[in-house]
Amino acid sequence: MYRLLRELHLYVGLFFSPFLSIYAISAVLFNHLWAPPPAEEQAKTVRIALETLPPDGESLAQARALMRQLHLSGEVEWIHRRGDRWTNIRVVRPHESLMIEVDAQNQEAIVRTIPEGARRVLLFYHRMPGPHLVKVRRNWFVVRAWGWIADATVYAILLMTTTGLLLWWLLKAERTAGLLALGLGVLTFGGLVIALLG
Amino acid sequence: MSPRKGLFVRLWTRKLHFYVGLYFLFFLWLFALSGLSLNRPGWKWLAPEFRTESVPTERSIPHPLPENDRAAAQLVMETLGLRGELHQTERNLQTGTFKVWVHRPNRLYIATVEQKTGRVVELGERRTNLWGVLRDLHTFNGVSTEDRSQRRDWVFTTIWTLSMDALAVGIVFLVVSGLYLWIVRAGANRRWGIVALVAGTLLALWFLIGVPWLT
Repeated sequence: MYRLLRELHLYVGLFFSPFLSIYAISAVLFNHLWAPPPAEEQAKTVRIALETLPPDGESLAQARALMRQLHLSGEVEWIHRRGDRWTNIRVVRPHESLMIEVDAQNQEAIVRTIPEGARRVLLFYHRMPGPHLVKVRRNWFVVRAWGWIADATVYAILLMTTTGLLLWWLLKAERTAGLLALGLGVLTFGGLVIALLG
Repeated sequence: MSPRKGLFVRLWTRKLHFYVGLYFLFFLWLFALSGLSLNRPGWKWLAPEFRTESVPTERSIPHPLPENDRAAAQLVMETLGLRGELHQTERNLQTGTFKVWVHRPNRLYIATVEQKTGRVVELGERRTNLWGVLRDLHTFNGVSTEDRSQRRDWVFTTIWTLSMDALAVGIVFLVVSGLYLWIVRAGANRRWGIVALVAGTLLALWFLIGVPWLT
């Protein structure tokens, strides 16, 4: 029993250790704004002639069809149509964000690429897929795949904490000190939550 | 390192691995479950619910309100007894009102004050259920990467942020100490451990480096 729990704890922990590290490091970057804002001044704009215009509308399928034509990939965040002439599409990727403006009159797309910087790559993954834009979210396979990893990391944490608890409890010599650590943790956690909720 | 010293380091690394994990147990559960709720907004049983109620108040704010938004918001908060993180302010020139959002993980106060008279036009309180509270705790740090003008101004936000930092350090310690304990495990067959570690690392590197490089 002990051996089985230990092996489970170990192998799951080893596999997920890079992902746990990503979440831990990016949390500190979030808390202290240690990732610089997107480098707007380094943005690049290109104009690309379109072979065919995307059909009217604001659907994800239309945005995807346009992106295929432009040989672009990424997670579509929103599509906004302005009158008969312009359609705006915002696309995000871990290292950059794209603003695509489709000019129906001149049959061209103006693509503005804003670099996000290395540290913001971690922020991207920390908040993806996230609670926003539910209707369109997970439209890029990378975000879909990361979403599974994010879920799996949660299950891994639950599994590792449960197996860790059992492994500790089976070691009689560590029970007292462990209870003290657990009790201190409960007090800190409980005290903070009570103070915050009021 | 002498064998005795090595044994001592190994023993204490194992003890600390246990103690740190146990200390942060509830923090880990909180951030894991709230993370699941944030990433699965379509799962109804994990979804937060909100209800906003109007709070009757007879109080009025000393007027005229300070021109500085932050100072004006603090005056509104003190007068109405609203404690929490100052989330947002808004001056509406058309209606002549000043609006303040005060945030705590389980509630959001929205106060609308008439600038000339100091009359509280409306005081709303938005409450949420357990999942809403968990989600708020997950993201409650008083700053925003999108709006860098926001700053932490409530002492408990600062303490909570520091505890999140401590958890991050704790997780890194658990990862590093776990790796160390696995490496020094006497006579262990490390093959499957190497497979698990390399697979996880390669997958993470593909997301971090491979995706930006390929797209």
